[in-house]
Order: sequence, then C-alpha cells, then structure tokens
Amino acid sequence: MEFTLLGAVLLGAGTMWMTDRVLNRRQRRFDDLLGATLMGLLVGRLAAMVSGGSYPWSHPGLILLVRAGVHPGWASIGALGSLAWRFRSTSLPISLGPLAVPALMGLSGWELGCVVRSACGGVTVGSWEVPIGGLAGLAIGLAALIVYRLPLRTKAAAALVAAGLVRAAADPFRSALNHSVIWWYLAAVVIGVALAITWTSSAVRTSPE
Amino acid sequence: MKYFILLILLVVLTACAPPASPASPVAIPEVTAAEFLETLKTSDLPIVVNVWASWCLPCRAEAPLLREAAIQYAGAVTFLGVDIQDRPEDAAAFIGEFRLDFDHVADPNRAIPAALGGVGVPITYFVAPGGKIISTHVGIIDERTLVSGIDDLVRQP
Repeated sequence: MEFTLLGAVLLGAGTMWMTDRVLNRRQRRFDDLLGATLMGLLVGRLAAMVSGGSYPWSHPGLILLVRAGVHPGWASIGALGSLAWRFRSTSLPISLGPLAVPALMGLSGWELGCVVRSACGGVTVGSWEVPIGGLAGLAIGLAALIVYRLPLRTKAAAALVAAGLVRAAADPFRSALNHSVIWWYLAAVVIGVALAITWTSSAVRTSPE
Repeated sequence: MKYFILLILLVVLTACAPPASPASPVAIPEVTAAEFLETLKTSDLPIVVNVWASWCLPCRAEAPLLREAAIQYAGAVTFLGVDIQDRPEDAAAFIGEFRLDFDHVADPNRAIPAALGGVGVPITYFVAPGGKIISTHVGIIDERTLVSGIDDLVRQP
C-alpha cells in the first residue's frame, strides 16, 4: 500500500497550518479551517458514494474510504456551510477574512502534493504533458498573495473567486473520468463575485459619512 | 428544527438507493495462473487487471471508479477482474450490484496475484499489450491514480 495520497493531504494541511501561524498571530484559526475541511470531506464523500451507487446506510464503513472519491463541489458546500454556521452570530466577511489566505495556501499545497503522488501530469497537448497539478498549485499560491493584499472584508469572496477560476481553468486538462465539475467551479466564481459586491456595498452603506 | 432537517436528510439518502441490478446469471469461469498469463500475453490491447473479492470493503469502494473507467476507455483498454477466495453467488451479486460489465475470472487459491506479484486485496495491475506489467497499485485505487495508470498504458509504444 502506498501513502502518497496521505502525503499530499499532509502537505496541504501543513501549508494551511504554517500560513495561519504566520498571518494570524493574534488568534489562530487553524481549528476552524480543519473543522471545515473535515466537514467538507464528509459531505463530499457522501455525495460521491450516492452518485456512484453505494448506499451509505448499508455500508457505512465506506464513508471512511475517502480515497475512493470525494465530490469537490459538495465538499466545498460542506466546508463553506460549516464555516457559515460557525460564524453565524458574527459578521461573515470579517470572520472569514483571516481564513482566506490560509485556505488558499492549503489548496495550493494539496495541488502541489501531486509531486508526492507522481501525478502532476494531465492531458497531453502535442508532445507536452501538461503538469496541471503543479501549475494549478502555483496559480493558487499566486492568488493567495493577491488576496493577502486585499481589504479584510473582501478576502473571503476573492479567495472563492480565485479558487473557482483556477480549478475551472485546470479542469479540462486534468486526467479524470467523465464527470467534469467545471460548472461547480464557475458557480463558485459567480457566488464569490456576488458576495464581494454585496459585502463591499454593505460596508459602504454602514460606513460613517 | 435540527431534528426535522436530520429527518429530511435521512429520507433523501434512503430515497437515493441505486436501482436493483440482477445478479449475473452466468458463473464466472475459473482459470489457472498459467491460462491467465497467456491471456495477458496474447492481448492486443492494454489491460487493467483488478483483483477483488466480494467480502473486501475497499473493493466495494473502488468498484464504481472501475466501472466508470471501463465505460470511458471501452475499445482502448480491456478491463479484467480476478475474483479471489469467494463464493460464486457472492461474486455474482457483487458484479451485479456494481454493474461491472467487463470480464471476470475466479481464482479461489489466489494463484493469479501470486504469479503477478502483490499481497492483499484489492490490487490493480496495468499491463501493456504482450503481458508486460507497467505498474502495480496495491490497495484501494483513487481516480487520479487509475486514470494516470491508464494514460501511461495507452501511451506505451
């Protein structure tokens, strides 16, 4: 049995933890991020099982075998939903802002974990195999640097837009079976833009004259 | 309110049961390791060999991936299942439940994985035309590893 997938997970989680330690010195947010990630894994795993024809109630042990597949769209909804519930009594854009860059860096680390898995390659264009995992990881890392410079109130929405754009751009070049999730990523972009507009305009309305 | 939501979730999940699939009416043939190796050598197409058993939980988890891959790569790659240490009726039920519509052979004594190399179950072998094993994956296989292995197979000269 090989543990390269675990290695990629640890790389993603480690990147997220390190970024949180560097940026959020006053209040660590890694627990919130980790909890959201686990909730996302659970929801995404259940969705993958049901869509694949496995019945969670008859074989609940299969839920733990996340290696068999996690639906990224439903996982994202699960993760974001858990964060929204966690911060339901506070201002969402202000609460989610500090999580944005560590979350993007965690996603970047996970993508770059393709090196550990020897699975960075995607489809072949001409004679060149597109190293889609590496490119996506670098692009998300660059997006994290851009999001870091944004106002706190727009960080979370911008992170959602950035992650959705990179994943949508990378999806056609990934080695995958026939179930493109590009529409989920594009939906994330649209939702992120809508949130950015909403949160920014509400800040303008509530700011003192 | 939260109990109501939980009830709705339970109803939705129970309603999403897969359609009942009849068990394959034909018992899968039993072959020797020598016969199986000959099959690999004489194949014109690359082959993905998956060793499974109906009592193996990870095999249940990866079965939908293998079904999808077999459909997607039909005509380009041959999929072969090797059912080890299993009862024929359980094997037939497993194949029917997951609609694994590719050829399977029975190997009650685990002679085939012993000949190919590898311990445990499931095991997935990526075999080039002519019988050369390009790579072996022991344990449950994920989508990216499966597709990468198939891509490597297809690109073999």
